[in-house]
Amino acid sequence: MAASESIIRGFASAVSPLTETLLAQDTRDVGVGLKARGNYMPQPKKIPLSRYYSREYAALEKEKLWKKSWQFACREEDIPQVGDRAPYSVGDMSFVVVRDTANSFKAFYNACLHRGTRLCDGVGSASSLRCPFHAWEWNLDGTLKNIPSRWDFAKVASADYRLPEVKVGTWGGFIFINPDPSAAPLDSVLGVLPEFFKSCPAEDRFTAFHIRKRVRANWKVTLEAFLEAYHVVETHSDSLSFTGDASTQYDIWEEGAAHISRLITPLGIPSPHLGDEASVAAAADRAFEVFAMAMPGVPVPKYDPTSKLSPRAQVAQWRRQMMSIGLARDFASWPDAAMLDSVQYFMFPNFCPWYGEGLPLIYQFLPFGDDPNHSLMSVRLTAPLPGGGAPRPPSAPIVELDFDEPFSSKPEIGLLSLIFDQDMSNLPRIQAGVRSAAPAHAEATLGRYQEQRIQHLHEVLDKMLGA
Amino acid sequence: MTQKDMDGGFKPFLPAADLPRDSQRSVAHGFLRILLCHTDEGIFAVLDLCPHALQPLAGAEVSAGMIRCPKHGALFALATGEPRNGVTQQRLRTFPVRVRDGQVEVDTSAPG
Repeated sequence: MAASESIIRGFASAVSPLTETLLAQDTRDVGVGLKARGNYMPQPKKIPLSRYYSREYAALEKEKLWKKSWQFACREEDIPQVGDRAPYSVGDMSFVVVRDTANSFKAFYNACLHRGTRLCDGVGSASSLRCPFHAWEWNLDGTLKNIPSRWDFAKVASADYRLPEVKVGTWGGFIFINPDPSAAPLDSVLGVLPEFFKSCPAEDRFTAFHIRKRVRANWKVTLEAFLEAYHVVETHSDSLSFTGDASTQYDIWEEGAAHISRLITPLGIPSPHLGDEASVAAAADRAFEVFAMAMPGVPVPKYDPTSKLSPRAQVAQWRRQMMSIGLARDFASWPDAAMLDSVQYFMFPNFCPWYGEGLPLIYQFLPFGDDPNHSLMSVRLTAPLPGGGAPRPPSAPIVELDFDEPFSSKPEIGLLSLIFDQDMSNLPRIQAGVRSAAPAHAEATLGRYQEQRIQHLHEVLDKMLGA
Repeated sequence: MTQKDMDGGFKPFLPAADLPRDSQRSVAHGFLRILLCHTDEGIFAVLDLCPHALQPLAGAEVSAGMIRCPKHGALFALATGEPRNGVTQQRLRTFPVRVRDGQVEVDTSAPG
């Protein structure tokens, strides 16, 4: 950034301070990760809209990004037993991740070496990988097991017909793959994530709900809709009473090949847009209601004006109590921010693990098929493993939502379904709009502070794609 | 048929006295809200969520039997929810509504 440039880092009101002030006022030590501030600010630059629909740009992404990057493929708990497997598809490329032994994983190109048939369509289990067309079959380690009518393939040497592998790496229960045989290890791209998630270990969580939504928008359009809180005031106006949208803090960490960014949107505090007279009590009451929606039957508390705790701290305290009881785990030392706020990390190119219990999600954004106007958004809602020696719950089954199916058709995630549908209603409009922009203005103009993570994404893309 | 069967899913939402003519009230319904509008043509109940961008309708201009979303201008017939301009092709959800014993009652079970 230019030495002379002064960047305004968010907008506060008299009753709704910036996130860094709320973190400093937390009733607990917020820990290393939430204290840390980013080390990087991307250069301001307009983004050509053509990269959201151009087939040439999508082809470049396939060659230089998807064939070269570490990508989140699935969670370890998705495939808990030896022989379990899950497909990972990105655009028209597809891989299959297999638990080949109790504690190891392999990933293969998801195509039969006979005539190319896809080997794995969905999460499943078997002692081998067997093609449904002619039953060519491989062991879980990728060695060739059987070719029916072997006599007819005299020139096929078994050693040459191992299933081609791609690299696998794991962190925090996440399984990543990389099709690039010369890729550096996964650690090289994780950056600050392992250190920052130590206080809320991702490996101690499980997938409680999992939706895959097809979207009529480029994967970057879909991803970018979730990298900033700037849109909340218009797109989620009914959340303003309890959401610190304009006071959201954004950070970026650039460390070698690791490109990580984060937003922290405080909850249980009114939007600064609502002005200096907005009610902090009403913000707490609404936060009580919203968090209570996930716990049907639990009485909804009200802000207590006689308490020494701030309204926000009261909500956090109630969350600690309810979760400690419900999960037989101790949340006493967890900061208010980790109980309430939306703390979303982004690991380039398409993976968003969220930190804490405020909004414990995992997002992933993928090109879908070979049309750059389509994408797939995977949303997982996670929960901490229950304490008291209870067994690890299985991963929730995957709910597939087609292009025109709203999140609200699956009421299990309550208010979140409305929030997602509000975002989804924008996405096809954005995709249509970027294709019909005036030639002289066919560029995105990004907010210097609030949209810095999108700027950063494109800066890294530019470097990788050489475009 | 009992009186209860005939009543279907009607439930009291607010005292009729709290909804004078030319007024509107938004009442919580689960995590959604229902907007009650008292016009010259009577009382109407619609989902307080415009189907265009899923924004609240509360405070919308109501006239000539129509409601106009304050955000992006989608226009709907209050009685049927039919869209009345091109902002969206989707219907606004409506609910049967009546006044009994001084209460405005809404049937939220009806497919609307």
